[in-house]
This record gives sequence, C-alpha cells and structure tokens, in this order.
Amino acid sequence: MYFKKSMRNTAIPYLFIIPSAILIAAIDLYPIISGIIDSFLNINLFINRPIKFIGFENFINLFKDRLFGIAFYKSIIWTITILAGEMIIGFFIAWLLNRDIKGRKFFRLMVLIPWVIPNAIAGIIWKWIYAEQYGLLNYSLSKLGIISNYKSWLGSSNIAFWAILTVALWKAIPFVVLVILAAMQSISKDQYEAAEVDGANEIQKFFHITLPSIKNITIIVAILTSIWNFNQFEIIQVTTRGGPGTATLTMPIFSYELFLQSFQVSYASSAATIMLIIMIVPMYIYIKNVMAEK
Amino acid sequence: MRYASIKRKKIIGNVITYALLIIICIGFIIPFLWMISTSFKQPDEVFSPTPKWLPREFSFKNYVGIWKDTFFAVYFKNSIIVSIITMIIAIIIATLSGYGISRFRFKGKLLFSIILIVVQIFPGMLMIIPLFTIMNKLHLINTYAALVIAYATFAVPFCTWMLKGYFDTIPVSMEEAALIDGCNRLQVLYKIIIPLALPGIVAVAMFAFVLSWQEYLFALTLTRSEGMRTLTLGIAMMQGEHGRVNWGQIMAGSTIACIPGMVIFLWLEKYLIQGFTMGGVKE
Repeated sequence: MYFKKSMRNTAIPYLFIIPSAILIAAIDLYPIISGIIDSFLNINLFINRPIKFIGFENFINLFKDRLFGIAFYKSIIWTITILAGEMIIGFFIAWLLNRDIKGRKFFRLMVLIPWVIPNAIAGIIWKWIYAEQYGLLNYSLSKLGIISNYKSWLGSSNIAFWAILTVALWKAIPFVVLVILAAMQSISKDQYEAAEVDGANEIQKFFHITLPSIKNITIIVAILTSIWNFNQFEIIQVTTRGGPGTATLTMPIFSYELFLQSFQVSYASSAATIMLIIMIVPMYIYIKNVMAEK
Repeated sequence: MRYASIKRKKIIGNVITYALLIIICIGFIIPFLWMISTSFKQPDEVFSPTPKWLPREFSFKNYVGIWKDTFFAVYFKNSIIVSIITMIIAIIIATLSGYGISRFRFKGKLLFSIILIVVQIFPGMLMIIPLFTIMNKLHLINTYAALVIAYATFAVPFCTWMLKGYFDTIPVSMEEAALIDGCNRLQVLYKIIIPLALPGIVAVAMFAFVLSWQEYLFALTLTRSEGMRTLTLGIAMMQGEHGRVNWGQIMAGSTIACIPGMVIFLWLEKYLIQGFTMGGVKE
C-alpha cells in the first residue's frame, strides 16, 4: 500500500534505504567485487612482492592443480547427492505429514529438530556419535550384529565422505519438509476430491495434482538448499577439515585452506570466483522464481 | 463387503503411515537426544564401552565444569554481546529500509530489491577472504566490531523483506492523517508504525539474534585470541584439541548453544519460511 501522490516526496524514500544500502555496498558488494579483482592479481601474504595483474594465470594454475580437480569433483557429488536425498526423503516425509493423521504437530516438531541446531554444533554432535572407541554408532551397529569390528567412520577415506554427507543431509531435510508441507497444505481439497471421484490413486494424485501445484516452490527450495549445501563449510571444518587425505575436500574447504593456511590470497580468491561462476545460473533462476512468487 | 475392504485398507494405510513417521522421527532426534544424555553423564559413563541411553543419575557436573574450568563463560559473554548489538543495529536499519520499500515507489527500487534477494542467499564463503583483508586494513580483526558489522549486514536483507511484508499489512490511512496533522516521516514511523508492527519487529529481531549466535565461519576467521571467540567457535575449538576430548563438557556446551535457536526458530518457523520463499507459502 503506497502513499497518495500528494504525500510523496522524491528524496524521502532514499533516506529510508540509505543505511542498509551503505552497509550492503560496503560489506557485501565491495568484498565480492574486490575478491573477483584479487583473483587476477598475485597477492600472497607470505611473499612480499609488488602486486601486479597476472591475467588468468591463477585460473590456469587451478585447472592444473590436482587438488582443485578433486575438490571440484567432490563438491559436485556432494551437492547433487544431498539434493537428490533431501528431495526424495523431504517429499516423502511431507507427503506422510500431509495425510489425515493425528499428532501432525508433534511429528513435525520432531522432524524440525536438526534444522534448529547450529551447523558447527551439528558437526560436533555427529563427531561424537561417529567416535571410534566410545561412539554410539559403532556400539549400536555391533550390538545389532551389523558390523563385527568397530569402524573408524571419520578416519578412513572410503567412509568419511559419506559419513559427513549424512550429517549435511540430516541437517538439510527439515527445511525441505517444512516448505513442501506448507505448499502442499495450501492446495485446495476440492481437486483431490474430484480426482478421487474419478478413481485416481495416491501416486496419480501426487503426480497430477500435488507436484504441478507446487512446482515453483520446489524449484526455489531445490536451488536455495543446493546453494547452501554447495557452500557447506562448518560441518566439514569441525569434523574432518577436508581429510583424511582429500576424502572430504570440497571447494569451500579447499579455498579456505589455501587462504588461512598458506595465505595465497589471490589463488584462493580465484577458487572462490569459480564457485561464484558455478552459482550464477542457479541464482538467476532462483531470483526469477522468487520474483514470480511475489 | 466393498465398504469393509476399503475400511481395512485405510486402517492398514494409517498403521504404515504412523510406523514410518515414528521411525523417521526417531532417526531425526537421536543425535539431539544423545547430546543431551551425554551432557548429564559422569566422565566414566561418557567413556564407557557399553554406552547407556540414560545417565545413571542426572549430574550437572559437566555444566559446572565447562563453566568453571574452561573459557566457556567468556565465549558465552562474547556471543551475548555480539548477538545483542547485532540485533539492535540490524533491526533499526531493517525497519527503515523495510518501511521504505513498503510505502514508497522510487527509481532503483527494483534493483535494490534484487540486490537484497541476491545478498540474502549469497554465501559468506565467497566474501570471507576480501572481508578479512578489509577488516585487517581497518585494524578490526579480533574485535566485536568486525563480527557485529558482518553479522548485521547478513541479517539486514532478510529482516528487511520480512518487515516489508509486515508493513504491507498495515493500512496507510493513519499515517496520512498523521502527516496532515504535521508529524514528520520519522515521527510517523515510531509513533504509528512501530507500535502496530511490534510483533513483527520482535520476531525479526529474534531471528537476527539467532543468526549471529549460531555463526561460525566469520567468528573463525575474524577472531584471533581465545578471549574473543564466540560460543560455537569456542566449543568447536575444544573438540579440535589434541589429547583426550572431554565429550561430556562439550555436549553440555553444545546443549546450551542449541537453546536460543530451538526456542526462536520453532516459535518463528512460519515467518522464516515465508522470508526465504517470499510469501510463496501460505498457511
């Protein structure tokens, strides 16, 4: 609802938005741009040398860098697996909760718990569960007879990636459930009743009524969570820090380690710039869909 | 006959639904319950080869211990200070800009809106390197100011959107009357709008508080000394140390770190979802 024309004054609106505009320009936009510029320079905080423009050298070196290749690959597997997992499980749980059941509020609350735990703390809790000697997982699995000797969940490079991915998935599902369930509940019952009269079964109803009605919101939540997952740093950093070896070395960890461990500012920036480039298309689709929702 | 079979089918369907939901819920909350259970155990129970679900007796030793023997109290104080200052700054700035985009049409509004959406989902990971360099030049590394500035900026776009939505629901006629009576725009804002929008403003403030309370990456990068660490960072550092990790105390600290998020997120959940999906979700 806007003010009438007579109540408007051309300068006034800008006075309201100026504080946030300045903050965003200084702390969001300026660092992003300066990060992109840095990736074309040769800044290394360990080496005191004149800073100069070196073109695409950092990017060329990155593509030759074996570790970058690994990180790129791991990040893609990581993001896609979590996306598939959170969508399948998230939709399934939302569908269950959307049925005519008692105690929906209670079940919903239980499913939400992982969402409200801070990422870093979630990583720590799971590290304790995964602990080799006194951890809950080894004890429970061996008691159930599933494993015969205790496994080093975070210490062996074959398992660590999937163990940490499970944590991130566990953390990601509730948000999907929440959004999809709310969207499902906003679909009018009449459509389902009409379909039932026509003899449609649950699966037909899901694919012909539910899914088309919530398509837009599904795209939004898929992209939003994938951007978060792709950039997941906390959970990996507090548990394995990319290890053992390169088992959990995703792009955020790779870029961060380059920066804080070896102070290769420009080189690390170019890795971050590539992450940005990867995210441009998803971000564009996200904005388009969000604007359409408004 | 047909009726009975439909009814039986329905009962079976319900049983399966409940069974699945119960299994899923257990899977989702086990880590959380394990954290709480461990936090109340004595050291010999924590490091037992046959862990039990419930502590022998509920002991607050770990809570007392982490408070007295470690820097936990300092981390806690830091988190409280940083989160409260962030909350105040973010809410003032977001109220202004939320009101601005709710009530006015102006050139550049679409651009401003798009920028807000972009930075709201923009990952901190991509800004951390240059932001570290900037804070370093300004000699702000290892200060509250660095964290507050960063957190407030991350909170503002989201808070602006949520408040804009709230302001949109308030009729404009009262403000117009007040303007005719000679109030200026700021007076209108704090005499009319803020009292009416108070529930929304409180909700948004709480969100900003939790956002800074839970943050890890920027605290890790922008602080140096033990005495400046925030809660999540401090706890993460404790379990990263070499030697025997005191899991009982760490789980006690983790439980405390979870409380604000639990209370506030579960309370505001509907708002938050709408904020992320821009009103695409209706109640």
